[in-house]
Amino acid sequence: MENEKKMITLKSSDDVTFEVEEAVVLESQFLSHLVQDCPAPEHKIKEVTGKILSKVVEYCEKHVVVVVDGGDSSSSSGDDLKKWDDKFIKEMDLSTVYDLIAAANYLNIQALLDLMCQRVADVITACKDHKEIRETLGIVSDYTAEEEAEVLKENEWAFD
Amino acid sequence: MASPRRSWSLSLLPPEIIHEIFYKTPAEALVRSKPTCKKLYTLITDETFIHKHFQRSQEHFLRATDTVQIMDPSTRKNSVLPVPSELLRHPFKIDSLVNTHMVHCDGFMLVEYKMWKYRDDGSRDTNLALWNPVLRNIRWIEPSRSITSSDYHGIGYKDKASDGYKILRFTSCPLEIERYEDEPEVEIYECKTSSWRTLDIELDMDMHIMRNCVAVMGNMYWVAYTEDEEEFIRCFDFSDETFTVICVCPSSYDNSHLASFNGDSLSLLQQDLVSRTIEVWVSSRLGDVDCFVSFSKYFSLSGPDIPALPFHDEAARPFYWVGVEGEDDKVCLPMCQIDDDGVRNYTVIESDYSRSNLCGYVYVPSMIPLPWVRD
Repeated sequence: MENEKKMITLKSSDDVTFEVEEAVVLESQFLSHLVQDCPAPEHKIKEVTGKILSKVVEYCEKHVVVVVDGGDSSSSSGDDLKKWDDKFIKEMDLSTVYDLIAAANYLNIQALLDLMCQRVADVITACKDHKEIRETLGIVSDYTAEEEAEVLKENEWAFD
Repeated sequence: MASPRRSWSLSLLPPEIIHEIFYKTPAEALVRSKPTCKKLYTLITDETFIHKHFQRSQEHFLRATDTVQIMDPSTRKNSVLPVPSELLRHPFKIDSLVNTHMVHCDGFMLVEYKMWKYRDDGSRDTNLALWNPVLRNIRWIEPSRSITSSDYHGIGYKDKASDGYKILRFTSCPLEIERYEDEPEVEIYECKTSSWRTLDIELDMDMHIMRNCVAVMGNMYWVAYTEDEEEFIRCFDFSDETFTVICVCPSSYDNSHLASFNGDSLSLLQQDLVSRTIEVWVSSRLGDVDCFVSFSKYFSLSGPDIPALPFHDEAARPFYWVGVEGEDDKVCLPMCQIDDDGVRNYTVIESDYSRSNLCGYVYVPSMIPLPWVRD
């Protein structure tokens, strides 16, 4: 077992650096492989900006701490974590959510990807009709007026 | 909230990520998303996606009275919708679904009206419809020549991909009127061909079947009992089209409620009307070949504070119930959560419903289209 805190530096596409414990990096499948295969002290992640990488690091640091504590702590740590997650996503605008989805997908951090997808799903669910969904999620319609009328007719009862 | 103008769009995400988001989005919201753009429409209406989405969906409660109320038990959010006018387009000019009985399968509600009557040409008016509440699709099913007022219906499948859904009709009391004694007692309707066929089965009329029933993994289950009051679980197996008794109920209480558990087993909630002891049983997995089904106790509750659960043999009752609280026509609908800690009530909605304890079902919202080719 390697219990000493090995530090690793992650560098974003715009050259912002983050020094994190190895355990934090292991939250990402992609980075775990990278660190194992290439034991350099610094890793450049060309696909992720500093702004987004800081969020990724913040999320992974929070989650790794709980896992270490979790061995003997009560289930309240799970509740605390959920509260933290709720706060983490609440403060975020959708364009950051989108970038985090892309980053979590690329870095293969399933829990973060799930959390972000849930956020988008909640936003869709809160919209009352297709127009609000378009507006909120930045969707541009490619229907002709006739085609849209057709789909709306199919859905006739789905708007109350 | 974010401003509406931005440089990104949900539709720019890779399809597999959009599907991940959509798995976490309730079916109703996805239906609302269909008219947004063609790419999302294609992703939402993809057949494989629809089935996987259904498998990941949670059980809801559906109550059908003068309105349709769908409740998510995890959030206790209740959405109230009008009864689709197509369902009310019935010769009896009914204005409510109170007098219907329903069976749930894959997000479809098989709706049966208890009454039937002749048309002018001597044929019988349909009293059976299939309804997907999420898609608001309804289709009336023309009867064969036979309908009795003691009909039971079920829905299931053998291989739904190739063979489609099937609807079962059988009578618990064949007509003994001249000219009618040869009418079929057991029939199957094939959604694939939109036609009925008679099954050559002799029904055991000494075995009485309760109205409360459940469709699990393509087969139908009822609580049945004989004169000596022993209770059984009776199954109609759609793969070999036979009725079988799959097991004896653990105890024979007056108030037995059958439901599905975990999607592949049965649950049985029973209450002794005198002691008010509640027992909840869960069956072994259904459909294991050559394996006898048996119940094991999930939990039981006894004590002086247990309320008497409403009991009505002719109606379906899910794990919640309706009781009158307060005065006059003001009625509360408490949801009742039963676990091994006791019985707790949550008031869900307040309105002036009457007779509405007869019309609640467990239901899973789905976007699976009705099993007929679109015209």
